[in-house]
Amino acid sequence: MAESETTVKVTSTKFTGLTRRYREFSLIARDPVLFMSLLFSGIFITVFVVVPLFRTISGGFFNAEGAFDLTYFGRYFDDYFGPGMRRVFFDTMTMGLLAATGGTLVGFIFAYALVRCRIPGSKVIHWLALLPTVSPPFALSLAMILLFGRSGVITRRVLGITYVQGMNDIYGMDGLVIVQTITFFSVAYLILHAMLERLNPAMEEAAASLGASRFHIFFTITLPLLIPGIAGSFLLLFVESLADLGNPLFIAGNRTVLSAQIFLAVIGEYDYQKASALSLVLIIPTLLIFLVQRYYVNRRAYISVTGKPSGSQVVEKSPVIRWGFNVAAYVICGFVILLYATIIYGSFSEAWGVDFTPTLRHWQLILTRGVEAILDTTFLSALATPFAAILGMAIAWLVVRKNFSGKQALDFTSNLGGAVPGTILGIGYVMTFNKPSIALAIGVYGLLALFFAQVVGKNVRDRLVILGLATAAGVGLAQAPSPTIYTVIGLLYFVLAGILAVARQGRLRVILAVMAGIYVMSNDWAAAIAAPIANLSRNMERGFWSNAIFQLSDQIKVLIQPPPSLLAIALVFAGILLTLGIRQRGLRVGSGVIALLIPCTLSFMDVPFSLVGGAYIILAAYMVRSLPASVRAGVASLQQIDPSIEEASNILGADAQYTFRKVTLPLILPALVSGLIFSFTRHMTSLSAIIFLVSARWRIVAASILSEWEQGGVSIAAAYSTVIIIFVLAAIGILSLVTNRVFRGRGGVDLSIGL
Amino acid sequence: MYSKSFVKWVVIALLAVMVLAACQPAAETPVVTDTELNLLCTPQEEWCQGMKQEFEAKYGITVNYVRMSSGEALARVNAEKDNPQFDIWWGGPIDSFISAKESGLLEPYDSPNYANLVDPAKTKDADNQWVGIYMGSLGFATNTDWLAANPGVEAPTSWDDLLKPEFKGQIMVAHPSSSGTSYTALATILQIKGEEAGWEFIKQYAAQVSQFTKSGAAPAKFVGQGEAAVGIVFSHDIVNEIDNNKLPLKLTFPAEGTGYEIGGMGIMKGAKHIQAAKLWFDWALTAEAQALGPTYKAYQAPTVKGVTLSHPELMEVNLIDYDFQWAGTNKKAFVERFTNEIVSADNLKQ
Repeated sequence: MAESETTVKVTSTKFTGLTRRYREFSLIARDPVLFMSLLFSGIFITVFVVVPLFRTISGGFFNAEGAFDLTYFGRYFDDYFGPGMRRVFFDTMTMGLLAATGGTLVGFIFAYALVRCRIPGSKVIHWLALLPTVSPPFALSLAMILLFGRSGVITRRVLGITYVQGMNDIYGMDGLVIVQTITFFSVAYLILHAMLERLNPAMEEAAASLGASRFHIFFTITLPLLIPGIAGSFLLLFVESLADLGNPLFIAGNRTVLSAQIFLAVIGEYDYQKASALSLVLIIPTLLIFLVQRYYVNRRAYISVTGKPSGSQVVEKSPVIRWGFNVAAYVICGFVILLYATIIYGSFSEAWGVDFTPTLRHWQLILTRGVEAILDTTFLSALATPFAAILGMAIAWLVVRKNFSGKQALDFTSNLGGAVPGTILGIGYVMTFNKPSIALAIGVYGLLALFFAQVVGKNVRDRLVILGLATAAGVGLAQAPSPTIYTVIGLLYFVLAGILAVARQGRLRVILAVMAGIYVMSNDWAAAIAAPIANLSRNMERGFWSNAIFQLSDQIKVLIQPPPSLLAIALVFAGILLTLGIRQRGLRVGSGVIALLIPCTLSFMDVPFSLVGGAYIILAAYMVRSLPASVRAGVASLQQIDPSIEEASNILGADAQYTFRKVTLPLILPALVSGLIFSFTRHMTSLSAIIFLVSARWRIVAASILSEWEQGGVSIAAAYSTVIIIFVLAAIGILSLVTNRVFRGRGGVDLSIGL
Repeated sequence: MYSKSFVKWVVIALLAVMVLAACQPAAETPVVTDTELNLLCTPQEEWCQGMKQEFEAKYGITVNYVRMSSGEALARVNAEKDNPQFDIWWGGPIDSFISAKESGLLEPYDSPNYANLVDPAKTKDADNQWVGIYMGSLGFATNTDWLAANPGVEAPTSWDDLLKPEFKGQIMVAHPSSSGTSYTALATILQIKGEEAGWEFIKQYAAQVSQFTKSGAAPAKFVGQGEAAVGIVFSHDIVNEIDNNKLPLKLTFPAEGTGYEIGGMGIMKGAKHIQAAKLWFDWALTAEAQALGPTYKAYQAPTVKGVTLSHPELMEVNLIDYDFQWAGTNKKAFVERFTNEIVSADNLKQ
């Protein structure tokens, strides 16, 4: 949890500060791999977090004609709209406060029962407490309505309550808070569990031997020591609750909260200005809390991260307290089991609330019409997972181990994308990547090209030649309309391979250049490669298999046809790796021009960064949402590794990349695996960030649940939810199994590390 | 383990299939070179999936579709104006299409199959930007179990019945901002009662509503499950719940007249698969395609000649002369007024 920042304080004068920064950057630039990871993470976060968020926030201040306009902010203060708007705002805050309180309380009960009360069956209880993290966020709302709705099984059948007017039902603030409590308490549990476990028992023992009463010890020692954990989990839960979209849409009845209001402003009133304005209103408390949590609470953590559980644990001796906690934990576990059993049974029942006969009808339906959504979601989630985990690890490594200006900003923004409500990010994506301004492409390309020239060129003249020639030729080539542009680019790679061969750069580089050429060329063949599969699906009988097989052809296309602007970023780095260190000047400049020309062409082809409607925008949204968990997991594990091991490797002559590969990576693998698990789970269950990004080609289960819930009925929504739960559990099982095999029992996967 | 020869045969068979597939002519109709169609579908998922499969089987063009409620769909096509991702938008009340036309989102198309329309004056845009593909009337769905449990209460047969005290907190309808169904109801009330009295009525009736759902058909489902007593839904959705999901519902109509929807269809301006979109457009206006509805549990009335109605009684009720142009033009203003004056009013509690 705790991240102690190791910033170098700049106390010197401005001048020396600047010199230091310049020196620092020239030092970093000497290590291209380090600089590349910095540049790549920086670009990714700028393009996919900072720019979209900025677009959303600034959108609230400008009307459709582009004039400055504060209408929607003013509405909070007038008499006509004001009462309604303010009520939504206060309802949102009430929801956040209550859900955070409830979640923290339940999390504390579980943590205390497991750590201090020797609860029988602790293994099972532990996993049950984590269950809500692996299910789609609204699955629990669904179960609550099935059980406690006006015609719910418990309300109607067990208790025999018939709804009469004026009676309080499950819809509304109360139901919403209960559902959010159950949905989010796992997070509080993990934080408090880790804290309680690491709490040094010496002080409590000392107090006890000095004759302090149990309650006195609890309130004067245990609780104050836990305050950072409690405050941290409270704030985290508050942010999560505010960001939640699924539950308020399902169960809030006629109460509206900000996240739902934003959603309705987009889908109902198609008013992006209003949605943006409301987003700013929602983002302010979220950001405030987020900052407080990161920079205030975490600094006040009284535990050391490196400390292993310190010796013995204090065990609750009073049976009343012990069993009080245990029974409470059992009851909540029972409730969680009941909710999940309801979801699963709900997917098999003929018509919930009317006819409970088991049937496979709904499963047949989702297997034919849902197979595309299920395959798409799993494919995109799985594809984004390794990238998110590796990127997170790279950022963590930069943040913990390296010193550079803007480190705080990188750390902060990498967490930002996951902390802001997903709806806001989604709106930003639609606004940014539908018809993006060319400035985005110029900015990204400019930065990369400067870096490329700096690294590949040896002097100013070299650099200017590479930059000028490559940019001119690249822009020219991008404008020339050619249906076989990728083949041309692929051939350029073959030329590059030739130069590399002449320059005696080793067989590996030549082969890599040829492979890069083939990969780029395959863009033009994608249709031909995918066509037989698509045709196969077209010639089959319509149904499950035809839909599933067609999806396969789409997925192949995703792998070999990335959007040119994203491919360009990757190819700049490939170009550096290929052309770095050529001695002969002519060959160096020549290969440099070709290696930069290619990404330049790709950067300015068609409409750069127009990603809406494709798979990559969903992948990016997934990665941004799960990045914080991977970064935190990486930071936590890196902080536990003594830097002197890495320093030793450096002193012995290894460069940063070699050290990372041979020393750091093996040590952080467990964190990487838990990052993988977290990322995959988060991808499979995210709704709010991608609800505006689904397209005809790329459908996402979470969005289908939302649509089916009201259209096709609860049973179909329940069946989809069951599929997600099963897939996520299966993925966790496989990953844990593989890790256990690889590590042979030493250093298992610690799930709490990512929190 | 499989034997080696088995594996060999499977590989040969697969290769043969691939070669055969690659050698096939592109499609039945040689003019159409598109192999895919991106469909924005607004009716229920089952019908979308069914039509997708029928079209694919007939023309060999793969249909990618996503289902969105009509408000959601309109928001989406508006957002994607400069870079449309969809080729054709099929289904959903034509108010949305009128609105889309005003924003310049639709591509005019003079289909040869306009001749099939029963009433071209009403179900086709004068500039050929949209066309009607189905019709359906609004009705009330009342839970019969609830009626049995409350003797003396009758299912509502007029709009004014909805204000009766026994229905307080028992009425469910979608939110007009996201649902075309609910907007049709709103516009119907305003047309029957006039704007002034209409809004007054809506204010009182909104106080009776237990929950505004996102999707228009949802209240039928919720009422069937007993979450509320009365839902305002299109009658064909109610019939579907009664016939196929065996929900205890009773269908009634307001005697003073009820509104109806025309489900629209339009090709998106800048569609990337325009040929396939036109093919779908023509196909959707054939009797053959419109007769498919009941197969996929869609009981809307067709707009073309030569289709036998699955439930003729749904259209043989007192229909008002619904002014689609007026409803479409005023949609934004009405929805905004509804959102700000009605739903957030203090008298509206759970």
